[in-house]
Amino acid sequence: MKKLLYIDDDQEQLDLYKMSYAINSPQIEFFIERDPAQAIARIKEIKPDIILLDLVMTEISGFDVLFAMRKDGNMGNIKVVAFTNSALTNVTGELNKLGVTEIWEKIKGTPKEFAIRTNKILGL
Amino acid sequence: MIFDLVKNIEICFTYRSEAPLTLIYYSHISTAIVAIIIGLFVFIKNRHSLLNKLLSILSFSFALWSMLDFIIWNWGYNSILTMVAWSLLPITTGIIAVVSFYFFYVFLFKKDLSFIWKGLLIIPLLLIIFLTPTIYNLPHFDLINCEATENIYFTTYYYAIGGLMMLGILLLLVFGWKKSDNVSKIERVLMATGLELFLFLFLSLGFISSYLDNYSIEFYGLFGVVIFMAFLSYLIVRYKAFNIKLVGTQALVWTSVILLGSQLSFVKTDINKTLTIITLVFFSIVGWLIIRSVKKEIRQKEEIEHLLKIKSEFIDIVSHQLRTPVSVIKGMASMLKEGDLDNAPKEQKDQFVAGIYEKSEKLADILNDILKAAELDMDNFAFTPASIKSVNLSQLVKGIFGDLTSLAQAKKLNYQIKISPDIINLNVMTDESFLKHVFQNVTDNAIKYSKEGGSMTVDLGKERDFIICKITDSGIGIPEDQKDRLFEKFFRAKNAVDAHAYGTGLGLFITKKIVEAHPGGKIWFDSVVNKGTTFYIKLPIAKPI
Repeated sequence: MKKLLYIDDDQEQLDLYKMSYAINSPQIEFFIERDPAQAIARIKEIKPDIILLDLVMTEISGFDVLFAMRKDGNMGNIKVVAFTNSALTNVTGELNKLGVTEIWEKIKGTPKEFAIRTNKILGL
Repeated sequence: MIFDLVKNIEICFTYRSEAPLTLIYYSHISTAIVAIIIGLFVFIKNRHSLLNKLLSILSFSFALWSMLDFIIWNWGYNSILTMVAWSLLPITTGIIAVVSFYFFYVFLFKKDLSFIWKGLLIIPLLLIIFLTPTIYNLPHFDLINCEATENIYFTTYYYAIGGLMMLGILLLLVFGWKKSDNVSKIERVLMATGLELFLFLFLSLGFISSYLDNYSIEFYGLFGVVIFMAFLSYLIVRYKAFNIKLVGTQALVWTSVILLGSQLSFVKTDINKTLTIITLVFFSIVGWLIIRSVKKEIRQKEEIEHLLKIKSEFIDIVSHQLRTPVSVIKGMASMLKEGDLDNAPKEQKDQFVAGIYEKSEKLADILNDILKAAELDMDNFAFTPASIKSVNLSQLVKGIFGDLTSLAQAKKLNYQIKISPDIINLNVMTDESFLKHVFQNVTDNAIKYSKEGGSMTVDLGKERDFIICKITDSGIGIPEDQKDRLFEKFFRAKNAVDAHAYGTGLGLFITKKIVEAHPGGKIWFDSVVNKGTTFYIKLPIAKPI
C-alpha cells in the first residue's frame, strides 16, 4: 500500500480530499497534516511515497517545507506535488528547480481527477 | 645677470595673470561647480546611504583639488599661498583615487569594505598626510618660475597609488563579475568606464605635467570629471542609480550650461561673446524644456509601475482568495454529483451542503469587498444622500463588539469595551452599512492578530466635536517599514500574511475610504511589532436637529 501525505492548513480541504481519495484510491493510505511547522517531522515519521503540498499556508509556506526537504537530503526519493490555489505567475520555475514532480492547481480539477492522477504517478 | 627679485615678482604676476586665463577659469571653476552640484544633490537625496556619501566625498575632494589648483594659478606671486595650496594637492589626489576605488566596491557589491581593506587603503594615505608639510613633498619655492618645486619621488608615490586604484577598479570589475548580481552588467561596465576615464585623464595628465614641469597640460585632465559625471548622469537617468530620478538630467543640462557660460571667461571678441550668450540662452531654454519633459515622463512611468505593482498584488492575493472557496465548492459539488456520497450518512451529506453554502458566502464577501473597494476608489467618493441618517455610534460599536465576543472568547482574550458616559447619546451622520464595515473590520483584525490569552479593548471617548474610538490589541503589530503601505489596496503586511494566509488586503483600504468620507473623519494607528497596535477612528458628532 502506497502512502500519501497531504499538507494543507485548511481543515475543510483536508477532509474533502481525504474522503475522495478513500473512495477513488482505496489502495492509497491517506495521511493529513494541518500544521506546516510539523510537516518535516511528519514526513520523517510516515515516510510517504508522495506528498500533496499546499503552497500558501500560515506561518510556514509550502516553499519553506520544500526547502527544508531538499536540505535534509534523505527525502530526495519522495515525490512532491505542488497543490495550490495560487496564480503561479512567477513560481513555476522555482518549483521545478526544487524538484517537484508536478504542479496542480486545485481549481482545475475535481478530487476524483486528482486521485486518478495520483494513481498514475504511483503506477497504481 | 643679477637676480632682481622685484622684477621677477612683476614677471611672475604678469605671467600668472595672463597665461592661464585662457583655460584656467573654464577648466577649474566649471568642473568644480559641476562636482559640487552633483555631490550636494546626491548627499541631500539620501544622506544615510554609504554609496551616496562616498560619491559626495569624491565630488567634494575633486572640487577642493580644483580650487587649490585655481589658487596656485591665480596667486602664484604669493609664495606662501602657493606653497600651502600646492602642498595639499597630493593628499586630495590620493583621496580622490582611494575613494573612487571604495565607491566602486560599494556600488558593485552593495556592502561596505571589510575593516582590513579599509586599513589597507588608509595606510598609504596616512603616509601622504604625514609627509605633506615636509620638504619631502615640496622642497622649496622656485622664485624664477613662481612655482613650487616638487619632489619627483613623492609625486611618483602618490600617482602610483592612483594607478593602483585604477588597476583595483579593473580587477574588481573582472573578478567580481560573478559575485555582483545586484547590479546589471551594463551598469557595472558603465560605472567602471566612467571612473577609469576620469582617473586616467586626471592622474595621467597630472603626472605628465609634473614630470615635464609643464602644468598647463593638467588643466585638460580636469575634464575627466565631466566625462565621469556624464556617465553618472546616464546611470542615474537610465537605471535609477542612487535612487535619484531627475537629478541626472538636471545635472547634465546645467553642467552644459555652466560649461558654456564659463567660455565667457576667455572669449575675447564681441562677436564671440554675443554668439556664446545667444547659445547659452538658447541652450538654457531647451535644457529647461528637456527637464520638464523628463519630469513628466518619469511621473508617468512611476504611475504605470505603481499600477502594475497593484495589478500583480491583486493577482497574487485575490486569485488565491477567490480560488480557494471556488475549488472547495467545486470539489464538494463534484463528489455529490458523482455519487461519492450516495452511501454516506445523512449528516455527512448535510455537512457538505453546509460547507458549499459557507464557502459561497465567503466568496460573496470577497466579491463584495472588491466591488466596494472599486466604488470607494473614486476620487470624490460620497455616501448616497438618501442612505445617510443619524446613527448612535456607541450602540453600533457595542453591537459589533457583542457579535464578535465568541471569536474573542475562543482566543481567551481579555475583551473589554469602555464607553465614556458623555458620548452615550451622541450620533454620527453616516451610511450605517458602510460604518458597520469600519468597526467590524478593525475589531475583527484586532482579535484575529492577537495572540491567545492576550487583550483587546475598545474605548469610545469625545474630543471637541468628534468621537474618538480607540481599538487596542496585544497582537503581532505592524513592521516599521510597512506602516506607510498599510491602507493601500491589496496590501498585506508580511507578518500578517505569515499569521493568516487568507485575506484580500482590502479591509483597511475600504475602512480608510469610509472614515474619510465623513467630514473631518480620520483613521490612524500606533504600533510596535510583537507588542500590539492601537487604531484611532475619529468621526464627527452629528449636530442636534
